[in-house]
Amino acid sequence: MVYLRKFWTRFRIYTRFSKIRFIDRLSYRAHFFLVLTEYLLIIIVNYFLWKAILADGRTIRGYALEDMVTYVAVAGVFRFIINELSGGISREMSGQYHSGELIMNLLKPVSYQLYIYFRAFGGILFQMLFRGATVLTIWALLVGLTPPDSAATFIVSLALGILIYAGIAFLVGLTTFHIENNAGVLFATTASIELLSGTLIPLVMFPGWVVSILDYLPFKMIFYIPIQIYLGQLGVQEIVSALIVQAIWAFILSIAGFLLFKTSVRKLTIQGG
Amino acid sequence: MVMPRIFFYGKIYLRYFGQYFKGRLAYRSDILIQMVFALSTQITSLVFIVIIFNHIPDINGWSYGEILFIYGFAQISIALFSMFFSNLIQLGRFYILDGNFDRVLLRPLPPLFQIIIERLDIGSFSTLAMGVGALLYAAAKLDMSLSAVECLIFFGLVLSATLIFAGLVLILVSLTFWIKDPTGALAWPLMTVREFAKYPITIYTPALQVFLSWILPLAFTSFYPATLFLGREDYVLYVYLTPVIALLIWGLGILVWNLGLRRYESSGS
Repeated sequence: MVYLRKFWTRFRIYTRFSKIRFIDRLSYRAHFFLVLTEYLLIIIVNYFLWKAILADGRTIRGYALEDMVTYVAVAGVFRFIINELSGGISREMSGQYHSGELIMNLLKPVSYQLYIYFRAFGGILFQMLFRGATVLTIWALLVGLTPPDSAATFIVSLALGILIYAGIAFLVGLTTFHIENNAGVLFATTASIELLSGTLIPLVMFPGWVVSILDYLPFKMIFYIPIQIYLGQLGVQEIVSALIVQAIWAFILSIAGFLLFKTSVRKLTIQGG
Repeated sequence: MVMPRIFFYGKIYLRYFGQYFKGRLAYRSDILIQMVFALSTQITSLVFIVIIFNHIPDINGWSYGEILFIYGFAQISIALFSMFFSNLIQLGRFYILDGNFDRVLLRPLPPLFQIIIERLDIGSFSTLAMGVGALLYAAAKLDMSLSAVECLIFFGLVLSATLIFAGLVLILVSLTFWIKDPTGALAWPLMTVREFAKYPITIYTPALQVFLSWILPLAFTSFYPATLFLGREDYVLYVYLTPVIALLIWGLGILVWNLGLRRYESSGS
């Protein structure tokens, strides 16, 4: 009981960080609509492309146009999450490192990793509640959207996917402690995540050898598994094992972040602050 | 009288470029990072095309080579724009808000010329190389052989395409003189809409095609001029229109710019 209460108090502290980021995100109104339009336009381009690619009832590896109509919309909305995580975790970390703000956060009696995670979660909540919901509503009215095959498992899988990418983004953020200017690493990972997690194209469409390599990497766990669950392409057993593998990856990546942070912080040099 | 003037501007351009390049060479890793950045934003669409054509023979009647050619053409004009004109986007924040525009106005050169030449996006060299690579590969795949005259026409069309895009950006950023916009957001949606121009516009609905041809004429920056080399007769008229539209848009851009310039008031910092 005591542990539970302690845990709850800690949790409440961290949710404050989420709340701050959430409110922070609310304050840029004009920016909100610009980004929304931009993402919607990308979804529209992709939609027209797939419409031409899968014209006359063509299918590629089992994907027909109806599937892709939903796929591009969900993937487009997921790009909000990817950007929120690479901005709110990786870029935030190198920003704090360069401004010296990092040292103030290290002095606080909270875990830096969890502080960064929870801030990003606040941002994601904002993205989903406002941008994601708006885009999906527009899409449902304009073109049509299939509801998720199993909403509950989809949400669990999506949450695990977010946790996996948060782990990766934290590791990318840590590189700033070692090479100072990690912008190149950051851009390269964001682009590879877009490709390898399946937000650009369903992963089965990649050449066979790429698909078999991707089976051993965490990237497809970020988006491809959740969207497959959304579209109802996985059986019950496959879903269970996919969720377990997702949880394992989320755990491994976060522990790796935890350990590497500990060793990195020991030889950290901060100028200014 | 006109020729010496052009030489004069050319000389200034090279001077600016030299100074800028020297400054940038001090941070060599930054150049590399910019190249990675430019590449990471542009390479995904190329991967998309390559993967999709593993599965299907054509998109809307356009073969792999043709799609790649249009894509390469679009990519080259985008890269050339980013390389030589992208400093225009800095007008709202760096020049007007931060007060750097006062410095520009004090110098005895046209302000627009100064802003264009003050920065050169070397990072876009990576996307230019990618575009040229895609185009050459497509040309080989299509067994295309160009005569010397056709090559000249090609370069003329690439130049027109770049100018159309730069002109559109010029019109939009010039509005900053009226609408105080510190983020450079006015030209932002244009950066996304140009994604539409990377593919044959026949895949879009008629309304969208009209929009991309006559309202935001981005189809003239890639699709229409590229069709000349693909042997499609239906769009010949549009090919001839490309340089005309380039001139019209630049003229309009300079008009809006000059009107805006009159309204300029310093930020006072």
